[in-house]
Amino acid sequence: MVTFLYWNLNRKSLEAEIGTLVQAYQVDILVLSEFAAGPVSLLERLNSGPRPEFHYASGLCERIRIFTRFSSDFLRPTFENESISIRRLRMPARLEILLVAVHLQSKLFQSEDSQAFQCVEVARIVGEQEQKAGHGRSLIVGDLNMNPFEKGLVSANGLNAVMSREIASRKTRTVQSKEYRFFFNPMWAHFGDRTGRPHGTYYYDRSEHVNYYWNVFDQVIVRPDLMDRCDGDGIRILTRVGEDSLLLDDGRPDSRNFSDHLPLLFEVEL
Amino acid sequence: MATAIPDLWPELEQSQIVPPVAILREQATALGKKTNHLLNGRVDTRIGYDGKFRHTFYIVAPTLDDYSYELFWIEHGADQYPVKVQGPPSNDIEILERSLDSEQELLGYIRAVLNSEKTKRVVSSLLAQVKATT
Repeated sequence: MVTFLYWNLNRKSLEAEIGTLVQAYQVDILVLSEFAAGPVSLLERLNSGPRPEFHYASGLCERIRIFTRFSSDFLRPTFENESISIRRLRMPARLEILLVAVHLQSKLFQSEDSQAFQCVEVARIVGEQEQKAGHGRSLIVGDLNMNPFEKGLVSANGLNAVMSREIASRKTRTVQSKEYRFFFNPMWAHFGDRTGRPHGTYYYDRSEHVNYYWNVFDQVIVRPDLMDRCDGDGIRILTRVGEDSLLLDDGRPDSRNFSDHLPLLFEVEL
Repeated sequence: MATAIPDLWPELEQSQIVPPVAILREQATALGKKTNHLLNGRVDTRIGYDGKFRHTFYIVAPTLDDYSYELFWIEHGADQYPVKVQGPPSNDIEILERSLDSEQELLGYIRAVLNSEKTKRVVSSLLAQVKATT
């Protein structure tokens, strides 16, 4: 199993908290966005134990930073822009996948339609990189700034990410004579008022008619070829770092001391 | 005998306006020349659902397994101006869009993007990686 941790840090440093999480969950691949500290100081923190094994997998997408427990040679970028960093994860004797780390534009500056068009672009870019890699094992992780039910995520020419494994296992769907490949989006299961779990990854409250309060902007989405290797039920939205709660007493993220987003932890069998 | 149907077209002239995509392609070529083709520029053109032409400029490193970095894009309708662009290039978190009305404004924008600290960092980092791996 390869263990991943994703966290939008809201431009906070949070090095101690990241170090604690990485240690506690034996994280192998750490993906961060809105990372304000430099990679050097975080590397020092991650490698402060008896076995310095973490590497910075450098890339040119400034909104995404990736650290790995193994050589960064196994996680080379193949495509990047302002919001996306696509890496080929090629470890010896393990299945190769494409790791698509994203931090898409905020709703504060884009309409829902513009966000949807951005997903069309992401889907096109991922498709191109899959063709180049010669396989369709892509895993998208990051802050999409959209909920799983929004147009960009569910439309056929967007990410085409469905809530059901059964539907995703059909691999493609055809709309107006054109075939579109599915993604499976296990994050649908993370909405709502279930005991012992947060109601989303990001809380937003404003005085307007449509307001969801809790949102699942931070997501893990996989192609059907990876579905059986990524346990959707095993994806955890973390609410504690050691003894510290990432939530306030009312259950909302404690954005003053930590981030306004909660971290995601998940495993993939490669 | 049927009367010949006349050609009703006027004398057709090609617009003297330099197409925005030609300006991008010239910069793509120039990057290859400046770096001895260790890095190349690539311009892809697609037509969106709204009928607009979107030209995207990439920096490509052929020896790094064709690694591609999307630097910027421009978009326009059948009329070549105004051109919609992202900007300013130094804005690191939120990307705003704006409209350019002339070739001169577009040249100024592209010059600003290519001369920005961010673009210099991308080019210099890629060149270093290319040289380290060959």
